[in-house]
Amino acid sequence: MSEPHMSVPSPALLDVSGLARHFPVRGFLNRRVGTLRALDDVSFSVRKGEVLGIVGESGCGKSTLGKTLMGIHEPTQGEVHLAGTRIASPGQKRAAAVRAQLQYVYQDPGASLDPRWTLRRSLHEPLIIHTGWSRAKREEHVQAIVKAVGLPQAHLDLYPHEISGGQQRRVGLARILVLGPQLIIFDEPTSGLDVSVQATVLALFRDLRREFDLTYLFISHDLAVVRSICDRVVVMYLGRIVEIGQTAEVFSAPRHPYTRSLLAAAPRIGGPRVTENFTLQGEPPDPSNVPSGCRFRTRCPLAIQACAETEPQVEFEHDHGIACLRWREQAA
Amino acid sequence: MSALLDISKLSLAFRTEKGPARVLDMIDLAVKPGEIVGLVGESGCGKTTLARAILGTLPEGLTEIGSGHIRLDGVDMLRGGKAAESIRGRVVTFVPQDPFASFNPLFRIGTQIADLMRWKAPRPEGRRWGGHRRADEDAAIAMLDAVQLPQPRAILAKYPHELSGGQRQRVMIAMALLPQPQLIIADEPTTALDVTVQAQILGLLRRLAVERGVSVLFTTHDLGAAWEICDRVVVMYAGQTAEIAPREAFFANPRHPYTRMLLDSLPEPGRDPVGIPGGVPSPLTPPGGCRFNPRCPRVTEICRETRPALAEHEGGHLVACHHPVTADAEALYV
Repeated sequence: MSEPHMSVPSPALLDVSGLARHFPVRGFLNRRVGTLRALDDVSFSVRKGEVLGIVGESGCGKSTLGKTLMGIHEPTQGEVHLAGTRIASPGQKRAAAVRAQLQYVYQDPGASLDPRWTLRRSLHEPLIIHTGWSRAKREEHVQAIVKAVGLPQAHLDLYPHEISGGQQRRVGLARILVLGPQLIIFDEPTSGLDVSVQATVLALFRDLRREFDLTYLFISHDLAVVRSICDRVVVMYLGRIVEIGQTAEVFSAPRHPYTRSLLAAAPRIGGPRVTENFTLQGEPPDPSNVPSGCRFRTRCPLAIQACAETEPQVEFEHDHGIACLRWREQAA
Repeated sequence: MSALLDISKLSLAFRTEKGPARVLDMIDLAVKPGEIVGLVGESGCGKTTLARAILGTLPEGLTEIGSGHIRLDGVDMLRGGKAAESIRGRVVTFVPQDPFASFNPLFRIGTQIADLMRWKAPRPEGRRWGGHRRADEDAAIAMLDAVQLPQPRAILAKYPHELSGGQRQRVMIAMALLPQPQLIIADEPTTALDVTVQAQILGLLRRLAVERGVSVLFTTHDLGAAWEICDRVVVMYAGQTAEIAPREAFFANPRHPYTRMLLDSLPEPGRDPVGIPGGVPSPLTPPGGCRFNPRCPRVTEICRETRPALAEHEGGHLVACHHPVTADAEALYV
């Protein structure tokens, strides 16, 4: 579970400031007819060794955030620093060395194995690209990693179709770990899994983090999973951060009305039926046409006139940040 | 009260190149009028096959019915022929998992609803053609209003791609209710939706079903959703019924080791979730006896030899296990 947070805060490994990513919306004859603001003014930092969760509904920009950090998208505004080095800003070309330190895990890491390659070849490939190691040294390293993810050595000569889906997932993770990354971004790693499998996958993530001293950015829409694995959590809505803080604090005392609705919507076994008094109506608006002021105001039960005029900034109390004009009066 | 849907000792196999895949093995299930029953299990345990068997939409040439029957409102859905045909879409309707793939993208929502009503909606005057368009449209608009879609008339003129996922699922529920069915089979209706939308849709489905006295058979792999909506929960494992219990008893006091482990796999704050080692066995070569025996921590010799019968414990709590977990039993694992 979570490590104690009271100890000396470790320095930020990843620092994101004012990050924005806009996509052009094109109409007839490829003319630009609008802007999809997938990500706007997102700032946070990830400390070394922590697991930061990013939650939100589909279309809130959480995957765009992951991909922008990864360098798949170039930011429209803002900067990203990894261990003190600027790795992304508008117009910046990413150095190849950064790729080894930052890894991205898709929904099913096993699916990205080449079916015509033996597992050994798949695991050697990243080392061939990123290091100048001899074959023997690479093999030694690969064997150590394979052991760490809990696969038998004999499996290295097999092809992906010869092993089970769970083992493929382990190989996919091993492939990510061979380069010794500092930060791993997981994008919806448990969606579509049965709970019985999900539990083993989460336990594997947890063990690997301990063993390789990793830092995770965990993007998910599953609140229960985020709650069980993350130290801190960022809640996003329509491309903006609405709340950020320690997982325990955000889940036990959510302050933003959106976070409250999100938590209220998740069924709790043993609790009352949430559907009987669930108040949040409608669905998030189209991100190419966001509401003025606070983006949540069209669905917010607390919205007032000022919400349409002022865009709330993230305000911090200790390390719990909330972007809402009315949170102070609600808290009082 | 007699059961609306009565399935007993149903065994069913698909013909494959490698021999028969025994997908359903002696399934027992009953749904009473007005009841919401959750059908829970991992993927590959036969939930969808059972739903399709009830609807009578299994691939004809490939399906071998071993034993048992499915009776819906007194009609045998497996061998019913014309009678089953007249029930399907009227007495029993279907809400699919994927609202994105279930509309024809080329026709407006209104056209698709009108087509449904022409064939399946009850006709008070007994005439099939002509003179109904007006009444149909009014009924459709009233129903879209009941599923809380804003501006129902405008929705009728839209194409499916113009609606969001939640709106499409609302239209699907409206279409399932329009023929005034007695049973709705909802096959994972909220897995493709976000939690806030899921809460709205589940609440809507439950309220409409209760108001209209419609029974719902709700298949899901999400135990939280089952807790939200069901009156009774049925657990399936690899084509066998493992446990049937009222909602409260099911979640508070699960008896089958599989159910217990499934509930313990849910992530919860303060404890590490425990998975279930191994996977669902292939229906081509199912293990003998209880199909859960290769993964079960309480397995003994008898589990490999004899299939446990579904036995009633207390208060309608049925378990198919030789060694059920008792209320005060210690945890299965350390």
